Amino acid sequence: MKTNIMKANFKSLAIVAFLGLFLHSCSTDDDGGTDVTAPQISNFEFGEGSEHSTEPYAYKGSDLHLEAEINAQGIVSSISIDIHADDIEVGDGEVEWDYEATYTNASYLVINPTFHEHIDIPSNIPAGEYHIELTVTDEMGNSTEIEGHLEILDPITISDFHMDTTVARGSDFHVEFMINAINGIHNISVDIHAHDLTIGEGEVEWDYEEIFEDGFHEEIEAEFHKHIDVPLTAPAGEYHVLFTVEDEDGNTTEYDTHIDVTA
Amino acid sequence: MRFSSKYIFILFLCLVFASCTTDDNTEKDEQKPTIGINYDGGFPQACSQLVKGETYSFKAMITDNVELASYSLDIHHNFDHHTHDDQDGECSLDPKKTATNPWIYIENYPIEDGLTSYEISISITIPNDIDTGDYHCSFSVIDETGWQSRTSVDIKIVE
Repeated sequence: MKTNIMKANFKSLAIVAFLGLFLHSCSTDDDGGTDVTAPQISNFEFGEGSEHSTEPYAYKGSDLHLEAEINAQGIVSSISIDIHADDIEVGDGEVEWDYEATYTNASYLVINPTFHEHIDIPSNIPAGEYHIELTVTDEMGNSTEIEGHLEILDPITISDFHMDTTVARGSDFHVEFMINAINGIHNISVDIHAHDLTIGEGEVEWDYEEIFEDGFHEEIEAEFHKHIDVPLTAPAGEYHVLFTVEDEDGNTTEYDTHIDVTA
Repeated sequence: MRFSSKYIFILFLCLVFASCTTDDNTEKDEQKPTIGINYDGGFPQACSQLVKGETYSFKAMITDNVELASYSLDIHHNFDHHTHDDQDGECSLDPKKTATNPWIYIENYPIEDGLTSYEISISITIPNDIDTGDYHCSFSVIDETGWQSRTSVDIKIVE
């Protein structure tokens, strides 16, 4: 009797042990993808390159070149791009730029795609440092992110601005500044006018508008240096002076200031 | 009784071994497909000039060690002189210009099951109302495993 029970126990134990082994031996292989490594991203390029500074850069109003080589054992399921600024002050007439896009083009949904896109950079965004993030997700749900810094620059900049603050009518005043325009300067217009000045006896309203192109056209860097005559008949008072630089692509940058015309 | 439990042991042993052997021999496909236009009939060759309104047959040979899955053709302008051609020889490019109505052609095509080599042949009529100038023509191929290969050439579209 005793031996019978032992025998029965031993048998059921053996069956359980083998069943356990049997099931155990097969469970690990079922999800076969756990050893798939996350996507790898290499040679991430963005912007115009970095010959001017340590950071890649791009100009407002141009298009941003993006390229990366991807190796995803688990086959790419999506590629996304996020561009945003962390702390940039948004100026007058500018809007914040926060760009997000996800690409699932058939030609990217492979093991070894080369990601290549061009994104239009708006021309009305603040210049400065932006963050750029590239995220690659594979079909197993693994994802890899790579990030970088991108300097967004103005296509036209005006610097070293010097202008007389007062001028006696009948004489001239001096203005000079430097212009850098990556697309080449188209022209520079100057507009001088006053608001609500009383026009006295023998005086004529002075409204000066002039477009300068000679010596600037198609230049990438130029010095604007002019002497502007104020007519003897101009009413004395405060005048508004506006310089507008336009480049070959139609981008414009304005610089405005004031000058006092004295009698 | 002893006899039948022995049987059960042997049966389970067989099951254990049988259940584990199958996964070991699934070989990984580590080879990319190949793609080429360097043969008689491959079209377009680098620096080819294509005339608007004409019909051309775009041809490339593709092969794979396991099985081909799909291919695509991508034609887009290169007015800004970006580079990604992998063919020999420099083509003379027109000056950079701004695109007004550039031609863009991107199509994917499946390949019937079981092929390891195939000749791409796509008949395309160049539209009449597009910008002339420098274009990139890029073929790509994907195999069943998911590997991709591509080849890209500079072409010019003329009046």
